[in-house]
Amino acid sequence: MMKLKKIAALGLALVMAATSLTACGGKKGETNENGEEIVELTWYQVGDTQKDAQKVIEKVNEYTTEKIGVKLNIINVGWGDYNQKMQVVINTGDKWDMCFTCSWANDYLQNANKGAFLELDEYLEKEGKEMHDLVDPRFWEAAKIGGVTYGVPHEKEIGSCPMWVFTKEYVDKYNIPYQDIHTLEDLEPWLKLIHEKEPDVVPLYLTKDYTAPTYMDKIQDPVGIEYGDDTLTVKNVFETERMKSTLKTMRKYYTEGYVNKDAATASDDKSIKRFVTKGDGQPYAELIWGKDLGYEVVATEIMDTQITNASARGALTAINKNCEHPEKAVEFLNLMYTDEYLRNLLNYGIEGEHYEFVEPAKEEIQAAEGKEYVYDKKVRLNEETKKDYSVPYWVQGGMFNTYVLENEPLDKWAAFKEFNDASKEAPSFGFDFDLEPVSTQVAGFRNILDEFGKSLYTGSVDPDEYLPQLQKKLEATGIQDVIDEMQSQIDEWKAQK
Amino acid sequence: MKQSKNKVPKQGFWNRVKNNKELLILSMPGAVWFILFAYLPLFGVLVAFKKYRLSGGFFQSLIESEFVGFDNFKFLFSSGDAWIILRNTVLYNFTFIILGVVLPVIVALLLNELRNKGMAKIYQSSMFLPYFLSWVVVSYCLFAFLNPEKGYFNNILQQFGHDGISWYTEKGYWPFIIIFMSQWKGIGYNTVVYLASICGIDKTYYEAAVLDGASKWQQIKYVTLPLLKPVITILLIMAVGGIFKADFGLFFQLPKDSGPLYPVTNVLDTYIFRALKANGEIGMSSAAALFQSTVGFVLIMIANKIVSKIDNENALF
Amino acid sequence: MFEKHRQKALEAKMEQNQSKFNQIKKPTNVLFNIILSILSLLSVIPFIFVIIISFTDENTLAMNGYRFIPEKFSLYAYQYIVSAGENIIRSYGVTILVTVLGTLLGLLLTGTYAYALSRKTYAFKKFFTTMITIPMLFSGGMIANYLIVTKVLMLKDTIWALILPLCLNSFNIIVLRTFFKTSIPDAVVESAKIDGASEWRLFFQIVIPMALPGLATIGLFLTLGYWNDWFNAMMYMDSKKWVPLQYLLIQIESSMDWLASNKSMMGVDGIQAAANLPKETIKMAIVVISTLPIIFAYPFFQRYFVNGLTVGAVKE
Repeated sequence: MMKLKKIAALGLALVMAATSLTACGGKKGETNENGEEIVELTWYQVGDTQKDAQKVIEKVNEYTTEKIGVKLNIINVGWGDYNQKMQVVINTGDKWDMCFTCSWANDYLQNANKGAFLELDEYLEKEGKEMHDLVDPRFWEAAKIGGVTYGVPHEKEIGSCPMWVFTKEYVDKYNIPYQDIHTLEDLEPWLKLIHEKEPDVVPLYLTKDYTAPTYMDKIQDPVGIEYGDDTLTVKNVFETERMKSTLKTMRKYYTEGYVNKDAATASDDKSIKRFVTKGDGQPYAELIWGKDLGYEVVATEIMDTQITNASARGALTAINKNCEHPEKAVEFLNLMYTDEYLRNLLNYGIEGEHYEFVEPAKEEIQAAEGKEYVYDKKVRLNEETKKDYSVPYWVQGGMFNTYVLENEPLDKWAAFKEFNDASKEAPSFGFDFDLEPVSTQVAGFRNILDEFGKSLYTGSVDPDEYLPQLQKKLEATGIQDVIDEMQSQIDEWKAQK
Repeated sequence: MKQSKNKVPKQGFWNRVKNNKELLILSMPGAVWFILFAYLPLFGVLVAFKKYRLSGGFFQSLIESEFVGFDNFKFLFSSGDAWIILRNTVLYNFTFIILGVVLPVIVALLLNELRNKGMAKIYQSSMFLPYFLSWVVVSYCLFAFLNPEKGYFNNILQQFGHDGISWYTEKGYWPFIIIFMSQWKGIGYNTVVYLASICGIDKTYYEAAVLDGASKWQQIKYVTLPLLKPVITILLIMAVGGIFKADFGLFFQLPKDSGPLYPVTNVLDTYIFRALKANGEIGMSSAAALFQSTVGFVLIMIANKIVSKIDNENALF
Repeated sequence: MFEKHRQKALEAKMEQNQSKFNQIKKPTNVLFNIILSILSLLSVIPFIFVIIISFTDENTLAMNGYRFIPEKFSLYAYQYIVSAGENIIRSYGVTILVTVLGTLLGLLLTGTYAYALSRKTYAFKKFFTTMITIPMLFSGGMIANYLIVTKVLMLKDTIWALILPLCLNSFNIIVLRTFFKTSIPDAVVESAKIDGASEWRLFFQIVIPMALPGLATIGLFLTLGYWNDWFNAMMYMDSKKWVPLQYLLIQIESSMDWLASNKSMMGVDGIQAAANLPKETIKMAIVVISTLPIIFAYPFFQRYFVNGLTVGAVKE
């Protein structure tokens, strides 16, 4: 046994020696024209690698080396692999300088709590000052965890905005005042009408990822704070009256035949004709939904847009705590947020190769005059080469700097800005739950929620029968501990605020 | 076995090395590989007992992270369904282990006895095909049959005047579907070992049996099966080690992660996956893996002990 | 004397069976054929299904779902793949290179190790068996493996990161050891030893030829392991130099899956991201083109465990 221990110790020592040897690599010596040393930054991004990425990055590097002495090494990791890969890269202390992070992939809160990300506040006063001033302060507020900023937010839609998405054909045909429809209950007469008049159409089409309208910030699903509850009372969403009645209504719709029968397991089948479905919106989302479905849709908000931590952390870029050149990384991000040429190069690729500029229509220019973030040109993608370089615009920050596409409205970013300004902060906005004391309990929740959630939300099962079952299981897994813990944390947070 | 042990009386270590020099050299490349790729990473299991927090490189972080004993293991049992999940895992695996021996052996014997060898090859190759389809692709194909609205099965049922079945919410059918699909996918692969073993049997055994007037069935019973016993035993022992591990795709992709089916599809691996979706605590995932391995290890040891009691020759070691 | 007698008796038997020695009866043969055809059909149908879908028109697929007889055929998926040309061809090359190198290296390592273990007189047998038993179950986990492969062995972005981690495993060694033990009579080994043969010669000249079915089995397992591997590529290949075919496929598959299941979290962004992904028919086409070569390679291994089956194998 002693021998074994010795061998193990020796092995560990060897591994450590070998890893520490390689920890400080990095090319040195190259300089740019200004005599600055050129620094290479490794940047992990979510999304599949593009065929022409290398070409574009070369162009970017040409520009950035000259400007600020920075070269990029962008590594793309596919959607499905990103979480796993980043977990490995971050936890092994591998070489990385910047990475994409958010509330739904490569979790921002967890990684920041773990100590993976650099504290940025100091840099934001110097190298990142311009970009700090540019972005809506509420994004910065959301990026703060315990008062410290760990990521640079990308200014997409700040709030979550659940919407009813109607197929325009039926809205027109039956003259439905869709703009007056908001709550789930408002839908009823129209669902009934469609159900009677259009037997081929599913009145309310739902898929397995559907969540019934929830008037609560589920800080740790299913526990959270109801919208508008300024007393900050932590509740289990399934115990709120609002959810209970929503589930009853859903059940009614389901039994009446308004909802597709396979809702709890269905994945979106575009061939199914539907009257209304639910979607999470943003400005001009109708255009995107319509393009996806192949016909026109119109949409209306289910409730006021609410800003929660999760919604405002929809996309950020974080810097490695062990980054060798943090000031350079911030400097680069700052440049990306402020430099039109660089930002559009990263977003659309090379002008003349992947896209060309087009003049917007006169009327459109006039209509958009005076609005913020309006450019005098639009982008037309090259049909041939657009598939060789196509990155989602929000994976990199500073998107208000991007030109809009030919088929997008010129005032798209102004609309985003307006949308964001109009969004309301949920009472729990800014509060972060440290789930550590109850991590065992929380680990059990997902299984229970996945088991019952979809069936209950879609009305596929009777809430009178299954809701108590769900509650029982949640209680057995210790939901009360989580509620108590969150309440005490949020009370403390409130006291400090 | 015992004899050979006695033949080599207590020698000094170096003497033994000297006497086994050639075989030792043959073992070396493999041994080096195991040290590098299997033993060096083993320090990773320590994470299971730590609340892993980053503070520099991995080792520094590992050492500086707080030691939390068995806290990371608790979540495995915290759920009210822990019992059902364990039961599902063990029962399915038990069935797979048994069927995973019985079916391939039968198929191997059938293939072996066919008069038309050309067909044997074709059959054998065809049965291998499912192995190449990932569970995701298989789940799409299965959905084409089980789709409640326009699937083939419900179409047939409706043509005969029955109501369609909501396949993805009726849990009663799924134990059969899962067992069937797992065997369907694995049978070609599993048959190969037995086919090769049959192939390796010295033909003189059969000649002797024929001379003694043995029928085909008797040949199988008294020649083939006894000679397959070592392979079957070894594969069984190894399979027992995996009894707490489940094929994730089979239990997650195939039933389309449908909630109402959880009582019969939730197994340890799917439970762990869902549990850790919420918090990426690597300590917890290592703890889960360590738990599965430890149970497997204990079971292998027990199985090996039993086998070596009965027939030392066939034991793992 | 005895030999002669036996030979004669055998010949007599064989004549009795119209020179078809020791075969099953015709009706039994028919029955077996029926059972096996049903099993084969069950296995082939889904694959044909996949092929048909790869030729289905994308819109038809979206409208009607999976159908054996689609309303409209299309070559779009294959055209897309051809137009994405160089990547796919390069990946083909990577996969083949990795598979061939890996299988050879794996066979050598597995063979030598298993052979040593199969020798009854090997004094360190127990030690080396234990050595491979522990890793069969315990592993340091993804993160520790990553650390060793990238930081200690420095294999990141090299082809060895695809080859080495898979070339050996305890299961193959133990199966092969069992093959060696059962198919090579002790007498053969001992007499060779008495003749003064070294263990090397014994292994390469006597054991390998005698254990071909076993080696072919392990060879097949290794080949399949390499051919289907994508995980190591995901972990260790940041530069896109060595991307095997399966990883291309899995990337599409997992991206589609992930975007579909995280739709509610990503909202409109997810829809846009998904719109950029290759479509379902393309995925199926990749399944087809990534499986076909291995199906053609299969008979190479198969002849070692199907061809020489008992009947014909009575020494001529």
